[in-house]
Amino acid sequence: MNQKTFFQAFRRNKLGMAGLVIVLLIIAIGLAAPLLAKYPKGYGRNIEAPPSQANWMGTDNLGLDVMSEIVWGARTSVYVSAMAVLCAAAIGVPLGLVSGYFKGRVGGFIDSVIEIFMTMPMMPLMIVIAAIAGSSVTNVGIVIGILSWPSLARVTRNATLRTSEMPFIEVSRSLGVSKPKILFKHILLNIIGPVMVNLTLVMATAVLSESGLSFLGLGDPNTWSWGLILKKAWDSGALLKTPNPVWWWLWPSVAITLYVVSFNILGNAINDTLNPKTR
Amino acid sequence: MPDILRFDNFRLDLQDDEGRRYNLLDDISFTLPEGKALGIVGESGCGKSITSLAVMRLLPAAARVTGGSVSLKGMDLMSKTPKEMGDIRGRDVAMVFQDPMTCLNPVLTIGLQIGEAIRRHNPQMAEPELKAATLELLHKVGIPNPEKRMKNYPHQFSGGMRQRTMIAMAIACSPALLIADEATTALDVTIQAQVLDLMVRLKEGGSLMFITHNLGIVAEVCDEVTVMYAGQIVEAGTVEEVFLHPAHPYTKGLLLALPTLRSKGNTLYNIPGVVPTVRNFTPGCRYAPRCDYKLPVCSERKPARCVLNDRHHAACYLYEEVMA
Repeated sequence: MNQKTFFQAFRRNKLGMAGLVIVLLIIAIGLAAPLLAKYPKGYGRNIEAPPSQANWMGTDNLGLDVMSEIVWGARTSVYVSAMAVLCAAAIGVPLGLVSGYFKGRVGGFIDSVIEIFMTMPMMPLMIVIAAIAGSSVTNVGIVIGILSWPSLARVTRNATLRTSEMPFIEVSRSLGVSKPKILFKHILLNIIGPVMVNLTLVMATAVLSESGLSFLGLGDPNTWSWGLILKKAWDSGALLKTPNPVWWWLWPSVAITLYVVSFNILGNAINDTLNPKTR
Repeated sequence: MPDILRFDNFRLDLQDDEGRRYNLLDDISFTLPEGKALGIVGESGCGKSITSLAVMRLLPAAARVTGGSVSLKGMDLMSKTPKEMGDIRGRDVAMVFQDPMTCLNPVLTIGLQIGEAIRRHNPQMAEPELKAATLELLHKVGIPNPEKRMKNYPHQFSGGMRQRTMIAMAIACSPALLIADEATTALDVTIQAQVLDLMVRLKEGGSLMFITHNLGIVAEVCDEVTVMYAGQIVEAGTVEEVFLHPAHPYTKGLLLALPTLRSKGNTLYNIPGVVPTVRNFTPGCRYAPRCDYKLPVCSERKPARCVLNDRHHAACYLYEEVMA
């Protein structure tokens, strides 16, 4: 399918378009954070104030604007997930291509490595590595990326196995086309659909993982993220208080959910659009 | 006349997952003189395609070459490194495959795919030159409106046009040998005739090797013919000799199975049985179980190649006395 027909078909998928719009919106907010809100630091005057004209999403226990925190949190989320996707793609896609194309010993070896990594429990490992590597946003992104490549590699491998058997690959070989070109041009362009879908899933899980790490105190304490807002709310006992400052923990939760759900919907929509049966 | 392609006692086994080996190609020897067209005929499963893949050194992973040699333009292909083979493919030998529907990459434009075939052996070619060469090739193979068509994707092409594109890619670097592996089988007869005509016209002094089970095509375009059965060459010679005086019972059977203008109303001959799979090849002459003229010796020893005359030979005990 070429690009034009892909977008035409994608536009008909209402849910997918909604997912795309939300994803783009969050990315835009993250990129434009310095223009949208002042970086929340220090102390504010109104503590745990409910939503008002001045603070649309209320304030936290230090009197800082929750909406500014969410906006800057979006920046962190986008940064971390982009970082994670880059790492996962840089490791997972080439390994998947190579193991799928060279079926013999090389492919089998890489496949076993993928399997070993897939059996590893992700969260505990992430906690250990994040604790050792130190808690900067970049480190967290890289750690998540390094731990989410196996599923990407597996998807790439399976798609490559199928595509490398296609006659047009043999035609390329019969014309003397080099192996790297066959792999990264002829095969990769053919399997870009499932790979893209998996990348959107990595984007979504990256934010979940980052929030989890931040909530456990293993994130970067100096950079606002949605997980960090939740951690601060939890640490101050805001979740059990009556009257409850709902706005403090509700909005970051909504933001995380929205981000993850939108990326999942987007991935599904891309998949459906690429599959002629569900287009 | 020098030989462009030469098979000398080429033997090839297939190895299964348990490591058992089965002989597939048994002492394949033939030559293809420069500028000539050679047809290789036989039923499906006779080892025709694997013979052509051996020339490209694109054999399946299970194949093991166990003896003999294949030489192209005097180069021993089996001793080439993979890198050297990459340089040979497309430049010295190219192949047109059977199924035009799956032989083009669906996500790349026609122009890009032809361009890649040209660029592979002309890396220094500048972009405008490459485009001009691509357009010229499309024009050569008779694709109308090439300027617009090169931006199309394969799914926008008909089967015949795709096969023309395949031919354009194959002749992009003017290979000395063009192999057509059932290249017209998937096309309807009118398009088949056009594509055949195109290949013969475009070989430009190069040589052609036609892998087919269509005897009509061989009679039409080939100078020489080699008949294969179950991995053995049963008969070979010039097209005229083999078709007018078929010697081997298998060749006779193939020719009898063809409808002719006079056979109207009569049931056509058919060779009893099917081609055995590689696991079930019999010792001696592999055609013996299906042969109407079978002698006791047939299943014991493989018949030698009997020279019938200087343009015709067959491997069959019926002609042993001719030799003696």
